[in-house]
Amino acid sequence: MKIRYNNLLLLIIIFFSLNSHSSEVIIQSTTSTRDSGLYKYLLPKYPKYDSLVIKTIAVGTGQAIRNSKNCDGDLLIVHDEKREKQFMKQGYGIKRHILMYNDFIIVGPSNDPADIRKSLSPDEAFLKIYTKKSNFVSRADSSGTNAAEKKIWDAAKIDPRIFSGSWYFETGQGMGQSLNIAISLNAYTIVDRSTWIKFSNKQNHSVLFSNKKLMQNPYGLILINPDKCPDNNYLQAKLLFDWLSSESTKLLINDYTIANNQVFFTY
Amino acid sequence: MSYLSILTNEYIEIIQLSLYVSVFATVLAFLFSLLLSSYLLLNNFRGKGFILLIVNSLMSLPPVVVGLFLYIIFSNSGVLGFLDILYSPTIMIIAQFIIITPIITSLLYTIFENKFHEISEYMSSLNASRGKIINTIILETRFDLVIVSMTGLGRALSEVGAVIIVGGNISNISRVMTTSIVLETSRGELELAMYLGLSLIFIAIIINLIIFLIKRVYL
Repeated sequence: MKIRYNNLLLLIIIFFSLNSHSSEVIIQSTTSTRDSGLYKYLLPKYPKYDSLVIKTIAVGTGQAIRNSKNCDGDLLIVHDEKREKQFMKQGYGIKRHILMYNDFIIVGPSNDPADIRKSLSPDEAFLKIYTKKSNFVSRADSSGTNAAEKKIWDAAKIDPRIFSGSWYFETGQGMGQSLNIAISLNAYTIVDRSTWIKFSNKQNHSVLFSNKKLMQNPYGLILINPDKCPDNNYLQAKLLFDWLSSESTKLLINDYTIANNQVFFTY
Repeated sequence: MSYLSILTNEYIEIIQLSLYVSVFATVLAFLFSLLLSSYLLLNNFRGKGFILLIVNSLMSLPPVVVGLFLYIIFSNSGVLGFLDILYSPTIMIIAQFIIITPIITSLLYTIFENKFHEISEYMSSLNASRGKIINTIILETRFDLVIVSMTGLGRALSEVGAVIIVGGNISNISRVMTTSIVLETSRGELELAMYLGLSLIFIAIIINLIIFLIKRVYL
């Protein structure tokens, strides 16, 4: 028995010594930016990439903000202006920069049962979906995309949650999973353009409404305040923040394409 | 897409990490369970029934709850945040350890208890010591123990709810087979997700084949 205890102790020691966190930056980010492949393209171009461990955690905007408030991230990349500003106001962020933008689009079955193709605004399209009681899939996960969707329903003066389960389906899942569900339910849904371009299981769905002006989707980059999170790797995070917001990185972001489509734009 | 084309370095690393995390967790859980169930078998004390009740109840603990619980504790704002193991394989091992220990302990205890009843008269006639009794029980149930540890390993390998929360599904650091299946599904890469699922089954078959062969050689 004695030997076994010793082995156990040894294993536990090995276990904890496996982690060396000399230089690591954690980015709490939205799923859409990860799924777009942008990080895989962009981050290796960072001059200090080889000497630094950059961990990107891809979750919904709500969870990314929550994790950052718990000091589990050094940088935050999300897309919900209202909550970003609130985050800054509460003192969790020290610097904020609009990293880039793309746009939201409404996708649905190609035969367009609610006839939204000729709508003039996103709220008109949503009103048509509501009138026809066509299926609509909502992420309902307090992500940035979900916040953008709510804004449009508000503009159309409709509360779709009354119809939750009849034609309005709240998945509570990420963008990709929600798209899979929308496709099998022949439903409309709102998605950011980069995720849609990269998404492989499109089947019979296509883009039915888009408007770059009215449905802009800006991504904010926030540096976490070292006063709130003294154990964070502020020094390395700030260097990465500065590089990400530099003019040369803007060019790199504008150069990123998926299937010959530019995915993100900078200001 | 052919099955071979996904066998890139990235996927081999994912499979390696899956095996590393789950085997490590299973070994730790098995050793711990062996001590706990031996202790429970050989000692009668107040509250023993209560411990068994708790262990059996913890068998139905949803992995996602374990993940959330560990996230709260090991988050930088949590009590053990200073250890800095969130989003690393270490915490994934801890999560799987917590998930499978109740299962292994419960199964081991049942096996030990049955064997104990079978041999207790004979042992007391020999006036055997407690150490001798437990050694005999372990020796005689060794093949059941292998099956139990495989049950634990299977549960650890197939688990996704906890490791995706505490590991973060970070490429090259904490991405295992189940979390990359979730990721590929969310990217709409259903075929790739399916191939990964098939690889998981393939690994399970290999492991079980090895056990089968060991049994044939030694029985």
